Amino acid sequence: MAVKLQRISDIVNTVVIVLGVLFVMTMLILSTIGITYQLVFSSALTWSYSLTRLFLPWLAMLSVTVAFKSGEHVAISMAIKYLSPKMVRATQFLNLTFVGLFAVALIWYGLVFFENSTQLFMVSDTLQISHKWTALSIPVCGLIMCVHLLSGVSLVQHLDITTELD
Amino acid sequence: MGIIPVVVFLVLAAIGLPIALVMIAAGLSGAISVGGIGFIEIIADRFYSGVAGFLLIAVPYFIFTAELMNRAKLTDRLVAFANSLFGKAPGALSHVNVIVSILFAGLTGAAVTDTVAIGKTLIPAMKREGYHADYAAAVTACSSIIGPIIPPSIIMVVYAATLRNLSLIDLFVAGLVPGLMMGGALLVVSGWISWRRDYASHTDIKFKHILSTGVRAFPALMIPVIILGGIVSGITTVTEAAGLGAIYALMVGVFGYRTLKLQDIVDSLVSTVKFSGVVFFLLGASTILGWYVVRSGIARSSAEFISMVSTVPIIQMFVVNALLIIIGMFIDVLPAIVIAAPALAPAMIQLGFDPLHFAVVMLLALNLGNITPPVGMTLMVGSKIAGVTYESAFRQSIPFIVGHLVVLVIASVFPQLILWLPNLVKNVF
Repeated sequence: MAVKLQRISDIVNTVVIVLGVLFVMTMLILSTIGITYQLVFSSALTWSYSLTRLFLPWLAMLSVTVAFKSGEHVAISMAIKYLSPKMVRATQFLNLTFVGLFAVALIWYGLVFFENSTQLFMVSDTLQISHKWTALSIPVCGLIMCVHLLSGVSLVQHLDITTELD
Repeated sequence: MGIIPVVVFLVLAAIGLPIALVMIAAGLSGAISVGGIGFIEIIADRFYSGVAGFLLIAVPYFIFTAELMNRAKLTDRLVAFANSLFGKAPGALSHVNVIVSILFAGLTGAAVTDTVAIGKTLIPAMKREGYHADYAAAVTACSSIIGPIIPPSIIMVVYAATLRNLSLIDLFVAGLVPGLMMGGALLVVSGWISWRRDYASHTDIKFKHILSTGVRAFPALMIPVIILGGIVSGITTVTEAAGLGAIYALMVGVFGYRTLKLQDIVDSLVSTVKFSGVVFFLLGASTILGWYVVRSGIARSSAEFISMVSTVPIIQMFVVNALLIIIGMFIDVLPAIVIAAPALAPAMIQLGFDPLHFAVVMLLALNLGNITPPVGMTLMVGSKIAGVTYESAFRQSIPFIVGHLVVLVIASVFPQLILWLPNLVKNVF
């Protein structure tokens, strides 16, 4: 059962990584178009910058879940080294509870934020995009974090960079 | 600042909760203590605001550039070029290590990344030439921390994004002189130790060799020129320059050096997403904690406390430096910036210090934490590559740490050293 739950979390993470990669690529392409236009015509292509900016909150929020799932988040683990295995397990469950609370808070208050995001982004004179599209990234991030809770305590175990070098 | 957020911060940090979540919990407990449970709703709005700033588009671009350059096996070309410069000087490879770190600083701007890239090539080579392995680890780690000071630098983007009232362009330019001073100080230490231990020298310096290796390294060395040149001349904004740097790095790796394969590019993109997440998580969290810090009057209290310790500006600066070095010893540079900057920077500005001067001094002081126990991530990585204990690598690092401290003291005492270049650039452009 635990393996199956872990698998769900892994699949979601893979999908999120693919989306994140696509967002980085799209942002880079849009920026390149903008820079080339600026250098060739000496005037700014405003829509390319505005559109790039719309991808940023999504990339940021999705990448947060990827960093978390990969154990790349930064934590102070010095004190943990001196705890007994039982106590380490207890702190891991406590940490997992905090992650869960954070995820639920992101969903709940993220939906409120989404509801209240009524303003429009001016991409160009003719194209306006609702702020709701970017605000939605907050509850979605919370939802993905909830799915990653299925990984159990491995979610709050930190990556040891020196072990990675082996 | 109320006692509750401080207790929440310390307890949760001690049990190993990710530092971003610790900051969020401390910030929210502070917000609740100010305005009741209803204030918890700031979590969504503040977190969003912390990650959505236009300037932050540069973060994934800089990370992508660094990832591409690391995977393009650039180190060998830079080492060959730096190697051609030292000839019969004792400890040539040790000096090469420092020079390559300075060159790498303009490409990646991340200390641990630089240590891995340079260490994996140079540490085995140094061991073959008879250097002590722990010394090889020390010089690699201690020179890699030049990376975050010489632009482009991710920690500078984070600092500017955290405080929002400081020009990132000024910060980039201001980092150049202290970064080169760090390199100079390390070369002095490296020269002294190599002379005393009679470390190996190479053949005579040949101009033709410098030229041929220089030509091979040239395309990569253009990356910082494109990024900084574009920004400083006003041709591009910071985000545009970051994007341009990434595209150029891709072109150089694929068509110039032909060392980047499709898999390398995909891996670079995946790593970019992962590491961007680390940065954005901290930035979002810092905005929540920062919201409370601003309202709690901690900056004012900090200023009052520093004034209480001494009214002499230079002593105030040294007190803050000592505090920052201690913070850096226990917390990684990125989270240390987002925790300490909102409280200390306004306090120091209130006391009359220049915001840009203090920003660079703060980054220099916190950056030292990369090579000091108990956290010292860069030194840990260096000792792991060299196959020596962390303790022995640290012992060999002490003269280099002294070198870094001298630079920190000089940068603290003489603000003009940091400020003249940004001022000059402002006047010229």
